[in-house]
Amino acid sequence: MTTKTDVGTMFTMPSLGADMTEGRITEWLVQPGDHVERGQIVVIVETDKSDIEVEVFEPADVAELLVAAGDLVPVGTPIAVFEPVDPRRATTKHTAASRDEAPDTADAPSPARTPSLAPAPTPSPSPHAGAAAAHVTSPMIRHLVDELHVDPRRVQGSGPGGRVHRADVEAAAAASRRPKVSPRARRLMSECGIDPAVFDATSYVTGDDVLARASGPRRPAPAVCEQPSKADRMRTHIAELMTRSWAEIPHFHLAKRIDLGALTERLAEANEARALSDRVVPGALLLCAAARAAAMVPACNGWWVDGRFRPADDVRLGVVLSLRSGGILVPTIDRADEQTPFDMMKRLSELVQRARQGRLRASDMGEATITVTNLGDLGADSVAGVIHPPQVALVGFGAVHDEVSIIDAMPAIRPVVHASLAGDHRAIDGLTGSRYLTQLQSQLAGPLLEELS
Amino acid sequence: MNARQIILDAIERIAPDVDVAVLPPDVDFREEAELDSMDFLGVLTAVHEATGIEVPETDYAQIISIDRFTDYLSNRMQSV
Repeated sequence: MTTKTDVGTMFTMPSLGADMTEGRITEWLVQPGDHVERGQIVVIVETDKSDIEVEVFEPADVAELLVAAGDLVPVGTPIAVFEPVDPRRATTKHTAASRDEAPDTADAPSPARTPSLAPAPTPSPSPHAGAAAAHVTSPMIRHLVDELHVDPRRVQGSGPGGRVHRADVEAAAAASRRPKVSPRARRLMSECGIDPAVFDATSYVTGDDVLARASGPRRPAPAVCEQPSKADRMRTHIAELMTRSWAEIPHFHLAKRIDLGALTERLAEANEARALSDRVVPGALLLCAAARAAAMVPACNGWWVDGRFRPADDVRLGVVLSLRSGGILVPTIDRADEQTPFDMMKRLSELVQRARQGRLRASDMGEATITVTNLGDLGADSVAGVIHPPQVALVGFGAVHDEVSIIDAMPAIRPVVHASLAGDHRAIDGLTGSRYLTQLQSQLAGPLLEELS
Repeated sequence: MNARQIILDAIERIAPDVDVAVLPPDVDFREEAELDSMDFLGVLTAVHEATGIEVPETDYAQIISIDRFTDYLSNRMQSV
């Protein structure tokens, strides 16, 4: 992310995922002259997937911002110049060491600041310059837009250059007042093509009301939006990735039903003794098991690149998170196979919280070696997934639910989960995939069970 | 603050897209508001922050609707 030069450190547009080629600066959180600490978030970058908070890994002073908020630049473009921290102000040993290693620049020629690297990106006129969304620049206004659930595309800016004021947002919110609907009802309306206007604006519409109406009047086809919204861009990104996967990868699917009787029992006992903030949901255990199985069956953990499989050295678990507003984000958990169930739960909570706010961190966006989709307790019973290229496997979990099982030759009602593996048949075969699911099962039955006590 | 408002605030915090003021009080709110287990834990955490009361997992069955959750929380708040 950074390149050392003799005049400072070039902070470049980071690659936040293998398929990212460019990013737009949404907002700078620092100004020239500011001092930044290790781990501090300095800039928010918008990608097709999400807004991403980019942090710095070493303390520094901000010398210059090279790219303005709103500009779209390719990955690798210098976007700011950071001066290494004055050693007298250095707060960490790490910084002092890197100062010592830095070449003495006293008698070096002082070329212009890496002209080859940092052409001032010409601010090209945006094709969407007339659209209001581009002018929602102030964090306060953006917050208001979110708070009032206003579609930024529907906000008309009344300020100079279409700049959006508070009153504009409030006007848009008032204009879009509709009957109150529950999230389930909203989803069903969109799925059934029902116009929310058919419901009484003063009533509360539940999912059942929508189902009762499902054969009623249909909504006309929505007008095509000129500027894709954040949700549209995310949709486009998912569409491209999934189309490429389905076109290129010869998928095969395996499934295994796993009894979770002992595990859920032990989990309930463990949670009983723990404070709310330390409680673990079954999903965290499933992630642990998936990651550990990947470490045990390395043929499933890596990438298919240039016609051959490249195994990864460690397990970086991609975790599919569904957003309440639609779409998915897939942040990554590093060294997922080494996490205890409690650590995994903490990490998962953080990710869910950040994803919900639409703001992941750059450190959440490492390249995954294998991905898990967990439909959760409100989901379907099983899933046959689509692999995220260039990975070679995707693990799926349905909702944990009760089924009749045979225990000691007698029928018994037990909580089970249907685990599945989508495999890239170029890289792995059914036998390898089966071995993976068997490993997954033994992780849930053995080590994880013990770690909970 | 009354128990019902505390619960509604907690749901709103976890699921800002839900208009809690008109969420039906007598249906399974987890299903109606589409709260998964992580979300539900978030709601309980928010309630705990507001009241100091922790709902054990064994009591989950008693708090499925807003009405029942309100009764449950009021009782617990009184007995503190």
